Amino acid sequence: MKRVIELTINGSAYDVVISPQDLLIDVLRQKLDLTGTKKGCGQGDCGTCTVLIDGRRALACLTLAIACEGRRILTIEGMEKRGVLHPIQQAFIDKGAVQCGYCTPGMVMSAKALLDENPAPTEHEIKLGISGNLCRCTGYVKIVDAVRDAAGRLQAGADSGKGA
Amino acid sequence: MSLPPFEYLAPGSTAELAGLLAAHRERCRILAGGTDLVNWMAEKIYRPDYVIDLRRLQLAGITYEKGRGLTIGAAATIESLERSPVIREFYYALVQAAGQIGSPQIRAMATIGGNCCNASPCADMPPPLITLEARVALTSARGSREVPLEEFITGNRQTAIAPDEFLEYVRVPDPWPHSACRYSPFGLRAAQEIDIASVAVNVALDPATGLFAKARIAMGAVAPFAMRALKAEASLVGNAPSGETIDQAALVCSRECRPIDDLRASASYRRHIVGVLARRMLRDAVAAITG
Repeated sequence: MKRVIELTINGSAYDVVISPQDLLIDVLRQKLDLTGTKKGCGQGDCGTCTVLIDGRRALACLTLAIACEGRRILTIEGMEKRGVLHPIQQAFIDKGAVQCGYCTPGMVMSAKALLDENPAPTEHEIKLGISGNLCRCTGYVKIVDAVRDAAGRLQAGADSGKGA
Repeated sequence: MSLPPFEYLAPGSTAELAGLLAAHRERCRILAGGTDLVNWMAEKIYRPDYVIDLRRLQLAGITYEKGRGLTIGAAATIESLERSPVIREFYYALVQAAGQIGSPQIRAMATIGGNCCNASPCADMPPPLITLEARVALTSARGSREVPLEEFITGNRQTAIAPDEFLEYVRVPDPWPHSACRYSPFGLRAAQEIDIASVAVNVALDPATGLFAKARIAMGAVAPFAMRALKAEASLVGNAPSGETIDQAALVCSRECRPIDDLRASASYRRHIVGVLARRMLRDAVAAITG
C-alpha cells in the first residue's frame, strides 16, 4: 500500500510517495532525481551506493526508504556548499582519484565518515575506511592519496577556523 | 532488483512486537540491519507478508555489570561491538570477530541479533560467543527464556527460535578468572570476505599451578554451525600451557572439525588452517594471561 513519508536529505525535507518495499537507492535516484548516488551490485558488496544516515555509513541498496523516516540522510549532492566543492571532492579531483567515476560518490561518502571520526588517519586506517568500496579502475593508490590530502585540507581549515 | 510487496510494521514496544509475532507468526520476518534480509527478499528466498522493523525499540544497548556479565541488545550493530570499551577490555575475541565482518558499511548496519539468528555456518560472532558461554534471550507473548547459543543454532541457517519469538538480547557471563579469549578468521582477502575457517578460544589458567583450568574452543565454517572442539578442550585441561600441549590440541582440532570441499577451499586445506589458527589463538590467549 502506497503512503506518503517525509525524508530529510541533505538538510531538506521531501514528501515522497512510496511503497514499503521501495529501496532508498531507487527512491533517491528515481523519485527525487538525486542521481549522484550510484547503484552498483545491488547487494551490498560494492559500496557505490554508500550514503550517511544519522552520520553513519549505510548502503542505500539494502535500506528500506520507509525505515528512514525521521533520520538525516546525507548524499554526495549534500557535500558541496553554495557551489564550492567539499575538500574531499576537491582532493579527489586534484589527486586524479577519479577515472570512470562510478565508485567516486561512495568513496567520497566513506572518506567523509572516516574523516569525521578520525581526522588524521594513517594509510592503513584510510585503506580500512574505504575497504567497503570497490574501484576497478584506479588500483586505489590515488584514492588513498586523495583521502590523505583531504585530511590535511580539513585539518588546515579547522586550524584557520580556530584562529579567526 | 526490486523486492516483493509486504506490509511494513515498526512496533514501539517489545510487548507490541510480541503481539505482532503471535498474530502473524511465519507470515512475518524481523528487520534489524537488513544486510541479509533485504538480499534474501530480493532473491525471493523470503516473501513475508509483514516486515517488522526493530528500529523504534530500545534494543541496541551494550551493558556490563559484574556478576551478571555483558548484555548486548539484539539490535546492537557490529560496529558498536567493535568500538565498545567494555567488550575490548573483557571480551577481546568479540572485538576481533566484529572487526572482521564484511565492510565498514556492513558493520554499521548489521546486528548481533541478525548474525546469530541467520545462523550462517561461517558467521563470525557465534564461535567466540560460544567459547564465552553466551546465552540468547528469546522473548514472546508467552514469556522469555534464555538458551545457550550453542543449542540455539541447530544447523545451517537453522535455529531453535519459535515463530512467535524474537531474540531480545545476548548475554555473556563474567569472564573466567585468569582467562583470555581470542578469535581469528582466515580468508583470501582482508575485507569483504567469507571465511574459509575460523577458530575462537577461551582459556583460563590456575593461578596456583599455572596449568590450564578451563578451555573452550569453537571452530567456524568447518561444520554446518560453529562447533566445539571438545576433545581438544579436554586435552588442554590439567596440562601446562606449553608449546607441546598447544601443538597437540591444535592437531586434535584439525581432526575434530568436519569441513567440506567447496569453491572457497578444500576440506583438507580447511583442516590444516584450523590447526594453524588454533595454535596461534591458544598461544595468543596464554600470552595475554601470563603477560
